[in-house]
Amino acid sequence: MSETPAAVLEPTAIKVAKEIKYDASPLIACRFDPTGKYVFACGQDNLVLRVDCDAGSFTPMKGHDSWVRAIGFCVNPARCWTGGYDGRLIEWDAYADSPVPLRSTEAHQGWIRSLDVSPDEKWIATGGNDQAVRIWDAGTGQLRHTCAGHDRHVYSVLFSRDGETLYSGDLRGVVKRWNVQSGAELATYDAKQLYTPNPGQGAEYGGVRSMTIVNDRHELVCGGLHNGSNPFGAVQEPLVVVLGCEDGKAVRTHTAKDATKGVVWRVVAHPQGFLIGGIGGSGGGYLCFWKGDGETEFHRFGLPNTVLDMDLSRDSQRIATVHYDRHVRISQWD
Amino acid sequence: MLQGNSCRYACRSAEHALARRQFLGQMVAGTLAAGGLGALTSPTIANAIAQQHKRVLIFFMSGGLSQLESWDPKPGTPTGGPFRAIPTNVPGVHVSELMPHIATIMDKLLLVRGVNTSEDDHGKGQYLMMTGRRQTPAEEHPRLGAVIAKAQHADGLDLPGYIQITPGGGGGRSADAAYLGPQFASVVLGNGNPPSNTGLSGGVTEETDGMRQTLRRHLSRHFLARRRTAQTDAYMQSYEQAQRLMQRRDAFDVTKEPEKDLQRYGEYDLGRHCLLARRLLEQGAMCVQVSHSNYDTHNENFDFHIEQVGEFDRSFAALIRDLDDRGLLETTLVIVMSEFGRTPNINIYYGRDHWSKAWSIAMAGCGIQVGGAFGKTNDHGTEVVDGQVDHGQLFHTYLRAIGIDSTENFRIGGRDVPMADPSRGAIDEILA
Repeated sequence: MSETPAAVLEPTAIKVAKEIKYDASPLIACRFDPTGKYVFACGQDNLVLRVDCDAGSFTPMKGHDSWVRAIGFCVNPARCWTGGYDGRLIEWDAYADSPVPLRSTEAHQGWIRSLDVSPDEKWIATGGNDQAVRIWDAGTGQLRHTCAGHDRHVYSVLFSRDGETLYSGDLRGVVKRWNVQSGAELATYDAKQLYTPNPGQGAEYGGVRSMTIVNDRHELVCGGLHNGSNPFGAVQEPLVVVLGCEDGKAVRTHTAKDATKGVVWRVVAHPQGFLIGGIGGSGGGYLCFWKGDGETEFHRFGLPNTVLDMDLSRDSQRIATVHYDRHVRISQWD
Repeated sequence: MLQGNSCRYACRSAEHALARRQFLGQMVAGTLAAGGLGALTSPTIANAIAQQHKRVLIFFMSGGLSQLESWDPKPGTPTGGPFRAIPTNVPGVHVSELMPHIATIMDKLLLVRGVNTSEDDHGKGQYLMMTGRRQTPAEEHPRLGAVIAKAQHADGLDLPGYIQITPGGGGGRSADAAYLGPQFASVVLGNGNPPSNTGLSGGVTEETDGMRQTLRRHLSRHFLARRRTAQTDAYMQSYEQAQRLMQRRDAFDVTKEPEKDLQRYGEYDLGRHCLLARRLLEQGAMCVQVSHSNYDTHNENFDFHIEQVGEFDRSFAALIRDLDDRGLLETTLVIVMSEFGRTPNINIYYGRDHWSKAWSIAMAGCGIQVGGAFGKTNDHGTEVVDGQVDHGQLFHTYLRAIGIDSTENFRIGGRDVPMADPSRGAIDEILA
């Protein structure tokens, strides 16, 4: 994501600019490619899809035996990385006419839930249901480190902007900080507000569903949910927990006005200084915009269907969302 | 059609038939000697019952286990969800990848994949699966465990005929025996704890208690000599059963099982409950029901099934292996049921909703043909296409599998009441 947007925009002036329907399946994950020409999306049909935003066409990429919800990119060479619920990490030529797996690695026992590419594109980090965080050499595909320490499923991983540190967050809201070079654990942070177990239902629930960094404030932003009074009935509310990057101290939280229901599936930081949460659940699909110390959003943008993932283009001008109603929606500011 | 290999258990062997005749002979002799109800308190008779009765172990997957994430996976289809299917030790039979341990004991299981109960309400679904009948305002029917306890004369045993191990809650006795009477109702072990009030009160020694009981029996005999009724008999019997239960309190103490066994079963509630179930069955319990909660996953079905099925897979497989190794599986019927299954359709919250039209149960142990799957659903799991069965047929089948003629009646208050729904019958294709 660029630190300098092309133009100053008015956050509230956002609208859906394009809707692209995929007939075969609900869509569950999305990321803009570095050029912004494509959105790479994933369906419940186990396919990764390269979506041409202008043409509205889909190029299927077959290689996983299960759902895929982790996507990342390298610019040089132009590669796409995907991590699946089959535990497989696949490297693709992002722009081949008919992409096929260049390299496929059985990376985790059980689901890969999250993937991130280091800023220098040397490393790929993955986190999964085997409670492990793994760091891979992006050039060779070799495993560099297995970082053990979580005792629950790892929901999200994120490199720091300098690429020296890796953050990982798990089901119970435990965030760990790792040294990328050595693989050593540096610290454990507490984001347990994102964990909302329900003993009556025998349910462990919550998780650090997404992370981002606000660089100029040295803040680690964790998205998920809280107040899960009925996890089996989708009765929970979105929550963002902001921690200090270096010390893990709790800084503030962000919620949705009127206790609207949902989960923050993805949170991103816009370089103009506000956070965007892509939220879906029993309260519908919507984007929340938070800034400063405001507890609740200064703007909410409703979408026609529940949001299952969201991304901000590298030029920070467009937002992609994917939905249960099988649509990719591209929203942009006027 | 039964898929896969099958083997037959010898529950109906000549040896068993002879043993049953011996048992009945002993019971008649005991009854004549003691004169009436007291006969079943005879240790000789009780031991004979304990040795000869069939046992039933019920797993109730509370909330509705997803058949697609367990017994009937449909990977790679729009309804299949993210999990893959894995082969089992029975060629041609696959289960969800969430069941790697169970996959290694499939030769001891029977999957019934064509269940259609047409009832999507939790309470009504549980009722019909546990009683074999639809719930009506007109009459309350006894649960399976109570029917088994009554049919196999559990009121003569030291341990309650029907014991439930629940994830939480307290102890006490349920009201699930309906017209069969409270002596056949389940005793609930909340979170696997021993039954309430089965220890001596503080300050009461065993000697003092023995004197109290002697006095109680003396007064009761005096009273019964002139005013004996069915109610007074039941009252007496409750006292005697409670007395025996107190003496067998150790049977409920799972901490007496080896630590290494708990490690095998899993050091979590269900692991402990399964170990307790093994202990109770070994101690002669007739029907043990273990509930595992919770599968009612309208939201994030797949995440929750990873946790729940993962626990069940390990504990259940360890228990079945142990029952088999110890020879208990030859005289124990095991049933894994829910109130219903879950929708093939994946909803907007990554959930699955209630679905009774095409779902699965599993069985193991005596009286059935194990090592395969009976019944079939279509490619997307939305309909049964072969071997459709319902709750009434299953109820008959459970009874038949343990040697009870399910078309028999109970004599209740001077009238005959069918043990099982007389409009239905057993599934002969899966009986051994």
